[in-house]
Amino acid sequence: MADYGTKISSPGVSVLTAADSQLRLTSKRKCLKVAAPQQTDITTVFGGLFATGSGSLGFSLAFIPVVIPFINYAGAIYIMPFVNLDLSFTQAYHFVDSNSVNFDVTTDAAATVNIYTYLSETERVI
Amino acid sequence: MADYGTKISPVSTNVLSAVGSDLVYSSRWSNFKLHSVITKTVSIPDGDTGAFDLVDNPIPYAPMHLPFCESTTTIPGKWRFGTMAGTLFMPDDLDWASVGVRYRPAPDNDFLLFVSHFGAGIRTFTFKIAIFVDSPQSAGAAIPSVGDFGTKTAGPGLNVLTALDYQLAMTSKYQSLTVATDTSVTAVAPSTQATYAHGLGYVPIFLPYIRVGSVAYPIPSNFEDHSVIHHAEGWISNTTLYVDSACDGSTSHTFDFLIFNERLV
Repeated sequence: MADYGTKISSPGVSVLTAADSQLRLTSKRKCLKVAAPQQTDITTVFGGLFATGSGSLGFSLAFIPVVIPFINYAGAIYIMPFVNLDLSFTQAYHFVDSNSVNFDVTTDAAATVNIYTYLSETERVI
Repeated sequence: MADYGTKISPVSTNVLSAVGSDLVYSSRWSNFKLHSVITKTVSIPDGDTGAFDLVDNPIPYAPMHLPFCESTTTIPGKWRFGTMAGTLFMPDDLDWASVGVRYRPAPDNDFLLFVSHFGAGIRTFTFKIAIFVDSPQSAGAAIPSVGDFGTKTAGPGLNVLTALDYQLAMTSKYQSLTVATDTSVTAVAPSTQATYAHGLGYVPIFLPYIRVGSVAYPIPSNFEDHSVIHHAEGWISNTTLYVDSACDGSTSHTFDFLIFNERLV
């Protein structure tokens, strides 16, 4: 890159000669900036064969942001969307519209699950 | 935003007037701080349709992570997100049935990797998980430090001198996740597939989405369009991003995605 802007290198790497790929941060490359993860608790209700529940996380932005949610269920953490590995009914999906992240969760029995969501207020999907 | 903290704008953008989406960096938000990319292969024996294995988490708490998987035997060089979420096949490997990654907290503190495949012979799958210092549970812990030097920034209300790595907005101890491309491609009906040449020359970390109306669904995932549930897939090589709506081809679909500069392979 041209020799101007902001560059930060790691210990042992000269910031003056480092390639972009060696820099920890450079004003040539935009960081994915995220807010602290927010927790949404969803309680599923048993309906005879399995239990379902839904929830949402609202936001007020002029675009549809990057979101990365994780679900904490039965002592394990999965990045969403996911379907459980043990052939149970457990699954969790999400989608993002213009003002909220929407979660749909299915479990074998009634349960309360925790969803932790990273949301970027600066980087957009749409 | 409040007029304090550290802000970095790109060339020709006034840092004083730039909004958050214009900034390269701002201490108002956190960067994802890349710790490492861990690798584990899982082989399905001949005659079996599934296998699993474990790989240790290199940091002592639940990390932000992005898992990816390659069917090394059948379609090498193409990496998809490491969750399956409802499909029964990959568009270019119809025998690939499912894949999953589960983080198991302490005392296990590891990842359980699962894959199923209906093909014949020994089939090897390679998992790569990008591990970040950040924690979705906001319950991180100290990681052995390289020392009290370098550049660190903390968000408002946090003492940069005492903050743990996962609490920092940015630290030169770890690589920040940076955006190489954020754009879209459209699969024009009757085709359900589209490609994008990313030009990086290596396999990067990426996040793909399919757009339905004004809603974004992450992929792989199920999505509803015209009251029909479909399943979209995305995978990436060292040259190209591939996406597939797996629809009937009656409707064009747009795929949005972020490709990062940071290397997966």
